[in-house]
Amino acid sequence: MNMSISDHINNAIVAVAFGFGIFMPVALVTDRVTIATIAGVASGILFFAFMTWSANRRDKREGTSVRENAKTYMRRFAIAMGGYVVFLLASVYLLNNLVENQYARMLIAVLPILPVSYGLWAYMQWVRDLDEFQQKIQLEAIAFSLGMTGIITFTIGFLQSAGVPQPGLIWVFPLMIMFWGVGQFIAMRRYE
Amino acid sequence: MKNRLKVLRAERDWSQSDLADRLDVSRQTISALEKGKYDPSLPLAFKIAALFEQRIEDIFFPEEGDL
Repeated sequence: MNMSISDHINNAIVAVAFGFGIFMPVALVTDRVTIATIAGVASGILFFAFMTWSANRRDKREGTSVRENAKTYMRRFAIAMGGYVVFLLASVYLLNNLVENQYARMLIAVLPILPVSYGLWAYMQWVRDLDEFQQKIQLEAIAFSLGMTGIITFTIGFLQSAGVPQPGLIWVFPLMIMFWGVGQFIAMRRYE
Repeated sequence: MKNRLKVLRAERDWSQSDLADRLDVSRQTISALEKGKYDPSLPLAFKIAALFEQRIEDIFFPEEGDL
């Protein structure tokens, strides 16, 4: 079964938002908003191509309930990532141009966390509906991510005592997600 | 643990996807089960047994070290 147009639009939102989400913190830190946006959208398009390819491969071979769970997750994730981009842009714009009050600025700065929290909820619903073997893979991926992120951030933290400059905490979450992805790849390979 | 899943599936001329659909699991799970890389939970084993109308011990066989 092939993907419908709405699935493609859905995936496009996720992909472009994802790429954008990865590069936007660069824009915040370095002030190079245009470059970060272009890099984000470009990597999003690449990511979209990969997703379409892998989803088409998967969809042909999976049963109804498995496909439904994946689709529901992608739809929710698209909302989360789309919301993230909108909230992030709004937040950056407001902080740069309008709002002076410090408490209001704090509130606006953390706005993107709302859609991210929704994305976390969507992920948890997805994991709950996975079958037992897929849950095992998730467990291994999460364990890998937990360990790697912990070791790396711990190491960087200790380097502080040697006077090494510290990167911002904003990088911890992307790092965690990256290792989760790598962890899934490793876990899946083990059972192939 | 060894099992006869692949044989039982072939006898019925089902693809891995067919079997996955009937058991309400992913195709990836069937693949791991057939290769003996993943042992099913008791509920899933019973579901498999019921689907093939056989007893669990006629489908799954412990290997040395399993017992």
